[in-house]
Amino acid sequence: MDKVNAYILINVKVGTTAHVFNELSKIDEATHISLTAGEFDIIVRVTVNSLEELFNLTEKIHKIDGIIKTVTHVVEKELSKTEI
Amino acid sequence: MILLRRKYLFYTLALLSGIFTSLMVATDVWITVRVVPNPYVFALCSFMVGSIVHVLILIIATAKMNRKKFIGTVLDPNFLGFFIPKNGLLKHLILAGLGNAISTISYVYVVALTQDPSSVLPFTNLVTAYLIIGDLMIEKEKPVLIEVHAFFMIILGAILVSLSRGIINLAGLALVLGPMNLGTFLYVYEQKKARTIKIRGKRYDSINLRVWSLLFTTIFVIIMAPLIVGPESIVLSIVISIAHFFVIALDMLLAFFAYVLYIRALGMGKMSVVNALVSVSVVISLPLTLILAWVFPDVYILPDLSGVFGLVRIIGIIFVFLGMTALSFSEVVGYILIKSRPGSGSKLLKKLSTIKGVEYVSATAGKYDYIVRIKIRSLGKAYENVLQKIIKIEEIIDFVWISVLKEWELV
Repeated sequence: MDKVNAYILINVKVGTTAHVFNELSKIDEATHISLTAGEFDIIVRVTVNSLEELFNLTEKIHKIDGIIKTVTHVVEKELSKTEI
Repeated sequence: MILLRRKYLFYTLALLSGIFTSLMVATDVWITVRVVPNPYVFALCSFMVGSIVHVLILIIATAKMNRKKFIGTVLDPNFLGFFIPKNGLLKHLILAGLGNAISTISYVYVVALTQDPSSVLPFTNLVTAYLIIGDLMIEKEKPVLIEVHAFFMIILGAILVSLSRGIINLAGLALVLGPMNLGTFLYVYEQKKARTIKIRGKRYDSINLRVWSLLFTTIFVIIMAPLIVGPESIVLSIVISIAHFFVIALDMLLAFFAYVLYIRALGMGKMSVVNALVSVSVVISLPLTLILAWVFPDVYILPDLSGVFGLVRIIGIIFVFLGMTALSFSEVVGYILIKSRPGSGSKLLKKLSTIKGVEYVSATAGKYDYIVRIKIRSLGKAYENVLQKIIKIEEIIDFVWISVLKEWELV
């Protein structure tokens, strides 16, 4: 079965970025973690086996101290540079 | 799980590949001096033994570490287990094998033809210039000036470091600049193409890629070499391969690591940048050869470091490092989160994907309809090449630019 890719866009409390990053880096399903400037503070890309697994993962992320808000975007279709 | 800064991962892979390459070259010298003096037979032995070693590695890599993961995922997280290539992927691997075979046979011919091959072999570093053209073909984007400066600094530095007192043999030089470098170009280009093909949502892994391209190289070398040195070379190669299996196997094991790391780096950056970084092997080879020449004076020749030659080599090393530092100037990475008009679908996906600097476009379900990942040389270029194009797309209602300050990637 095809894997499910998703972006989790995160806002954190001021001064907690390093702590949140450390906790996120312990998540096996995270393939990229980007510290960002703009509407969101952290963007995490995850690869999971199912939507249920994604639900459990977001639940886990919500429990990390310092996270104010998360917005999850499930990837439906993707074009990479090489396919372009 | 290890998460590494993406930039560091790219440079670490390319530089580690350079280190393994220099160790492999040192082992090559040992084998040609002590075991197989005939370069054609050496090439045949390397690929015959190499095929066995690589298939064994593939079998070991396919074993499971725990219920979920293959052992091979330690080396490449994309490893999918034993995978037989088909269609387009198969074509890329066959062409990569052909390129490698042409390059190898040309190398062997140069070694056999010229009295002092070290006077012309440094010009193999010029293959980076060929790869810049290849990058233009793949990425349809001109390299920026600082990249071109850095490439030439590294190429010239690598040539200076490996210069010898020998007289340049023009036929040998023509062979290096012609079939040898073109073969290498084809080899790298097709590997890059193969690496970027997606299988079950992941890039084709470097372990399968290396193993299959080597198997095709072996087939082409077995066809080509006897045409030059006669069919008896095959029998001789089999005999030598059996007699000296372990030392040749060690050489090919080093080659495996050098190439797997190289292929992984190829999947992350431009061919010319990866190749330029791997050129660091000539700098690493210098102290390595000094130590080896001291321990085994009958096998390794002490590099000439006296007078002007010593100075030239130091200038070469400075050039290589200056070039690498210039290349490592960080790129601007960002995400654009897009809200679109209903019904814009695949038309918008295509429009977004044609914008220069776009790495990938994901159509998503959520607050935003598309997440676009951008990688570009400067913020100025991001404005000219990306934002100016985005604002002209009528299907886009609103968008948000998010700059990436630091990034980690699963190793």
